[in-house]
Amino acid sequence: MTLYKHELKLNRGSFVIWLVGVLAMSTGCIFLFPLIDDSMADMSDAFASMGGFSAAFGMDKLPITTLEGFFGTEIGTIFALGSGMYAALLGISALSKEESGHTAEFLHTLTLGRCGIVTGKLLAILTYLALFDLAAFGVFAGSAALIGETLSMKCLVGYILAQFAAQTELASVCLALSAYSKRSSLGVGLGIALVLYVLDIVARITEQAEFLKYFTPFSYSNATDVFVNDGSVETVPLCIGLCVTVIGILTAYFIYKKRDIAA
Amino acid sequence: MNAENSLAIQIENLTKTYGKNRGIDDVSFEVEKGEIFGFLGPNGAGKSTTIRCLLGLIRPTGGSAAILGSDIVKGHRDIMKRIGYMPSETQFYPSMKVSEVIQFAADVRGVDCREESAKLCQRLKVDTNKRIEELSLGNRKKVGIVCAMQHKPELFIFDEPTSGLDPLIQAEFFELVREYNEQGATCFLSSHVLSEIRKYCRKAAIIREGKLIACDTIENLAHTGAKFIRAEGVSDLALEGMSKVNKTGSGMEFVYSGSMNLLLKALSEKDVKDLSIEEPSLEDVFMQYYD
Repeated sequence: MTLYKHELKLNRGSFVIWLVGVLAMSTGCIFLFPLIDDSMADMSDAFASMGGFSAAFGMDKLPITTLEGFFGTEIGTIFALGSGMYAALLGISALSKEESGHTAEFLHTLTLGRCGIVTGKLLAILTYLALFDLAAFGVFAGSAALIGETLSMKCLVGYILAQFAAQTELASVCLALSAYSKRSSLGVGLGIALVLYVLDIVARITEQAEFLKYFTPFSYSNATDVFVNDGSVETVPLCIGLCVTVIGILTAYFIYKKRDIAA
Repeated sequence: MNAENSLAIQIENLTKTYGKNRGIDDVSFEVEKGEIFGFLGPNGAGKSTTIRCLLGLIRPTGGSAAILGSDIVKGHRDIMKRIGYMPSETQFYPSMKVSEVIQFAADVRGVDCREESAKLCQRLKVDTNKRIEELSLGNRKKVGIVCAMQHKPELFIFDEPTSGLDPLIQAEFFELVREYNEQGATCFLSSHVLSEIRKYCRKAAIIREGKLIACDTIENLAHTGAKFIRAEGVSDLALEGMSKVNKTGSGMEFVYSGSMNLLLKALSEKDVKDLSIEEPSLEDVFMQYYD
């Protein structure tokens, strides 16, 4: 519990910066919507018939002229990418930062034990991701109400839960890498998030590459799909994602328990 | 009390290799409870590797060790509750205040150390309001000493504790070690500063190139049979057993551990103006172990 509180405190600054940054960008788009919806009405058909480009951003499934359509195609993408990058960074730095910051000897010679250290850090990551999504839910719902538009609560809740699952998957994979690495490889974390995002886009553009959706958390957490399916998430990719999450966490424990800790 | 219960540290054939690189090789020695025990060796000899094995930071590739009767692998958490460790390069979380770091260490241990930490901070002149990032190496080390001592452990493990500390704080640190030792604590002191070991330790182990080369009382370690020779008028003597040879303007001086008969025979063939044969200084004796 002490390490959990300690981790929350140490990560508070970066949490606020990422939360404000990601929500400012995505909520800014919500407030932009009343200003551009008229002009977009003329282009709606064009956006929906641009083949692979439309499919990549889900504009062939939801009309961009409604807030839900605009949310699914634009805002959801910004939030998914931003929060995914944040989750990856949280995971990739969690354990390795102790060695790269030379605080590992101090932490490991207290009475926490290796499993205690992983548990404390994992709980802090999950807490920050939950707070991130809770704040996003409130801000999205609130700003939609402020501009006099409606967002289906069922769809929004489904989207936010799917986002939490996707962020947890990214964080757990990165946590396993962090357990293995002696250096805080922030670039690797960001790279993983971006590559998985691109995999989702590729899976949507061509049918031949559709199988890639099983390898990326951005597929089942895609805003357009969640809003089109009335708040529900595609089961198979989600279950695969949950399995990857569990494997990532167990791998982190397994590696960290055995590994030599650098000074 | 049986023999095992009287041991604070028991190391048997401890080995650690890093791929093809040497770490430590077949190291064995024991530290009795209540002792202040020195662990000597030049930089890179394997002192920190031995300590890091004992603390469970790295896994030995061979051998075994026990601290306060608990196996270092199986009893890791129990051992950590009962020891206080200060690494050679103490580092904490830069954005935290000194007081927060000290409190964090106490909270993790689940012990109320406020009284003891206040006493330690006052004696070591630790400014608890400063942030870690504002501290010099010496001041960080002082925080490390407080974190290692505040829970009054049964065993202290210090890895080069005095580097970066000013002489006054060094003296205060050893005074604290002496006080805790009088209360029953054991102290394992790794250092390459001979004067510290000579002044505060009764026994010491010496490690070189990953191997333990001696473990005995300071008194016995110092009496190796070697002599310090100063021969005036001689400049070209070369015998087996000579070390630390220093040619002066009027002759030469060296530490000699070979046959005295051979030395006297060799000197009798030279034009010796003056000869003195003395016990070598402790520094010279230990340098023989290092060479």
